[in-house]
Amino acid sequence: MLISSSAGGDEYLEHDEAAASLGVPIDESVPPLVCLGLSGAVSQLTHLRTGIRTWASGAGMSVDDTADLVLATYEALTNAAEHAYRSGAWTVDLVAARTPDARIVVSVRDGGRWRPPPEDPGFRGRGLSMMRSLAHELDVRADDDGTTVLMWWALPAERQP
Amino acid sequence: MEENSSVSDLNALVGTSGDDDDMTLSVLREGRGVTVVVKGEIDLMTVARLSDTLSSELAAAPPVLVVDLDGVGFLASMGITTLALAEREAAQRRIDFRVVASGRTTLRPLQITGMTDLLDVYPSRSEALSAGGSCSRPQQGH
Repeated sequence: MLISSSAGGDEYLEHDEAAASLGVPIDESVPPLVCLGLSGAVSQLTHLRTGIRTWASGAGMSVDDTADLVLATYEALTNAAEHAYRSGAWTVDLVAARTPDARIVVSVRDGGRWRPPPEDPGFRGRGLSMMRSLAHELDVRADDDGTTVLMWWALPAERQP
Repeated sequence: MEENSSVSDLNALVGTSGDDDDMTLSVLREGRGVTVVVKGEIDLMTVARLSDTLSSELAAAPPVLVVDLDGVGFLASMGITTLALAEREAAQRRIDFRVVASGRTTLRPLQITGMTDLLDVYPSRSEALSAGGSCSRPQQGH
């Protein structure tokens, strides 16, 4: 598992890794949040919220947008974890970054095969519809290797550097 | 469910202190009403306790059941689902089910899921408890 949000010696590696994972260029002045290979206890997703909130706030998001991002990201993470949990194991990658055009992008990728929503359609459907409302833009990509949820927020104009 | 295997690893890495189960529930009985006061965070780890408490209070069929969310700092979709199920159960038992929510943290998730239309939401516990309770709304079909 790799979790990092600090600009250390591996800064360039992190940027490259984040950019490659997101498929978009990222703003080099804001260290991306990179959490690869999350797995194991779902309770860790609760603790991860604090790290996500701190990162989003530091990346220039407003208080309200930060709250929306934390909730939407938690929904995406729990959705991905629950999605795969019943099969015994789950693994999820979370990457968040600021882009050069002053947007925040969050990517949540699970390694599981896409399956139709199981026993719990109300819960799954509600989580996805919340993500759709909370993010300014949402994109779900499913392929043979897994499912990726991409969420975007535009930063307020006065906060742009 | 196994819940604790890698929490400490992650805590060390993201630098948070770990309260695994950050929600407290208290049940108040005043007059005809029962109030469940929720404080903390309603998420995947805590929602089962809220659901259990609401189920047992609903089973006792008080005339009015209030869920006070004013002290809630995080409300995820599983909490919304629990409230929706409780509302449905309350309607079947002719229980007047009311929710207290006033801040953005709780109102925002309730609004974007359409729950502010489904639930009777009050800005304070006193207003929820004092609202006329003998005339419940017509039920919406599901």
